[in-house]
Amino acid sequence: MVVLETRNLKKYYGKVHALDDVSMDVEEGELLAVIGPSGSGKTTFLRSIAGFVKLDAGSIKLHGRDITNLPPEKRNVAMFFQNYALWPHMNVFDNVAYGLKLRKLPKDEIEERVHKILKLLDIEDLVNRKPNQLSGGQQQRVALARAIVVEPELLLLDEPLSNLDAKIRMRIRFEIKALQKRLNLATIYVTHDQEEALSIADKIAIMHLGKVLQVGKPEEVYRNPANFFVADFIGTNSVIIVHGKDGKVQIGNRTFNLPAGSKYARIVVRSDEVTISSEEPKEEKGLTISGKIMGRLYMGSKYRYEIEIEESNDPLFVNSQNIYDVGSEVYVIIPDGSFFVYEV
Amino acid sequence: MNPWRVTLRVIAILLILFILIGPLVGVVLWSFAERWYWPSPIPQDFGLRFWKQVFSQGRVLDSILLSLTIAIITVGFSLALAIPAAYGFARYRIPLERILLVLFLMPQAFPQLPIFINLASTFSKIGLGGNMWGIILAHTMASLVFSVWIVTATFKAIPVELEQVARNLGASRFRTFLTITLPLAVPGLIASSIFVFLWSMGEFTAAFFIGAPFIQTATVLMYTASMGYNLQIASAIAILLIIPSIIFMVIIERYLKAEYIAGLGG
Repeated sequence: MVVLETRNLKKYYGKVHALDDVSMDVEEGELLAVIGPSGSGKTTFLRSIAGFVKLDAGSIKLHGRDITNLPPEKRNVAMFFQNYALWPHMNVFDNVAYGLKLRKLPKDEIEERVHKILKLLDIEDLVNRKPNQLSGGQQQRVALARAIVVEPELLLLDEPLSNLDAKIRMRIRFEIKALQKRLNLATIYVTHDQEEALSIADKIAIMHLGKVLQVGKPEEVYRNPANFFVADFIGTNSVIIVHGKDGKVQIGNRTFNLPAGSKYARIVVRSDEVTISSEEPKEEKGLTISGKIMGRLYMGSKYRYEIEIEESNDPLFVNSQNIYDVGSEVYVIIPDGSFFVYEV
Repeated sequence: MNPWRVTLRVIAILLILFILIGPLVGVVLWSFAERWYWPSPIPQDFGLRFWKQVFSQGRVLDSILLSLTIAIITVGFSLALAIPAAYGFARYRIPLERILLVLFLMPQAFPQLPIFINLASTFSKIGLGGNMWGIILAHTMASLVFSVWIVTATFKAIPVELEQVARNLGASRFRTFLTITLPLAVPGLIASSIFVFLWSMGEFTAAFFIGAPFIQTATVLMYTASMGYNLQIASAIAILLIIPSIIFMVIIERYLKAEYIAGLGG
């Protein structure tokens, strides 16, 4: 069942198209991750659903109800703010209970629901603290509790992990996912971190300059990117530009035809999915490029190599667990599906 | 420590103390002086005669009560005007915002005498001369610069997200203002109240030209007393005038501190 239906959303700030004909759906219990670089319109999209951005065109439906022109307080979507926005003059209990008090629930029920949600998020013992007595991680949980305790029809998360340490971030990623599944809550998760999005989402939407470039399952988007931008934005990649000759681009063991008018091709290589070999492979699978190792960085679980190739002025950056000496001649073998060619 | 530096420091401290409380010492001495002729550094005779006079003459206490009433109502008026105006300045894009804000400064920016004499003649035409409400209106107008500026800065310092969360959870605009914005603005509201209260208590020009001779605030009475070479009465009133201000500041400072600390965590 469709929970949220947005159609042809448009928002202009002067000449800038913050939202340029955006249409997306969220299904029951689904987590949609919206990713994109800053200025892509992802936060504007989120805020327009919450009612904080007045749209120039388009419609938003929540469970079939048209909420496009409703004020924020009448929408029944709960938004989690990037900086938590906890009220400093209230303790944790009052922060979390605020939405329930507005719904005029009986006192016992409010207490019961607040305690239940605090227990679920493992912050029960903080109930009487003020926000300035909490750590960043604790504040994040309180803000999350405040949003989900009102049992919204849709949960909106704006960069929920961006203010946390890298280590805690990994753990909370799992927790948010588990919590969302447990509550079966339709959720939109906005982030600039593609890895975070891939790991947590049921569906990913990539936005750029106010447009939605591609929507799909994480595996789909990763394996079949719709265009160069998506291919480059998702995953750890190396991009090389290869100039064409007589309508053809030749690289390693492969040749690609260039359409008329194209001068060069951009090749996106998934850096982690290559094999490096010092001998020429016998099989003619995938793309094999020969080159010379110009640099090596130790990354802990792997080495990152900078490889100079004849066909391009751009070095190829690839990762491998094996060690090769700087200066040695190697073959980089990239399997099909791990590289993408886009003509320009 | 170097004895020279100690000496210098002691001198500096004494100097500061002299500048700060020297005038007050004079006022206190004068209020108890029954006879004080030049060149004696202290009065020849001390006594409570003038203090008794102050308390037995109803007009002194009445004038202090009048000053207090005017100051408190002025605080109320200026907050009532400043809160909506400041919220508008802080949250909405208002054309010519800076110019409008500077306009509030106008009554304070020019010499007080011509401004209030003009105001007094206007007020007397419309029945506000010789009247407490005339003084209150003049004080409210002139003190708007404190309240509007301070309260605008206070509202601007409250992150708009704190209001948006409340709206998002189902609170109307008005409810959000009452439960989130206003409580968070309390320190600023108090700060502006202190300014307005103290300014109104000590204001002379408007009180004199609009109120006198029909009603006399404490400052006007003090002026009249000292003009009549009754420095003792004037000094006693001066001391009495300081008392409500000190009480006001002590009460408010205690409350203010707690609120500021609570507000720092956000």
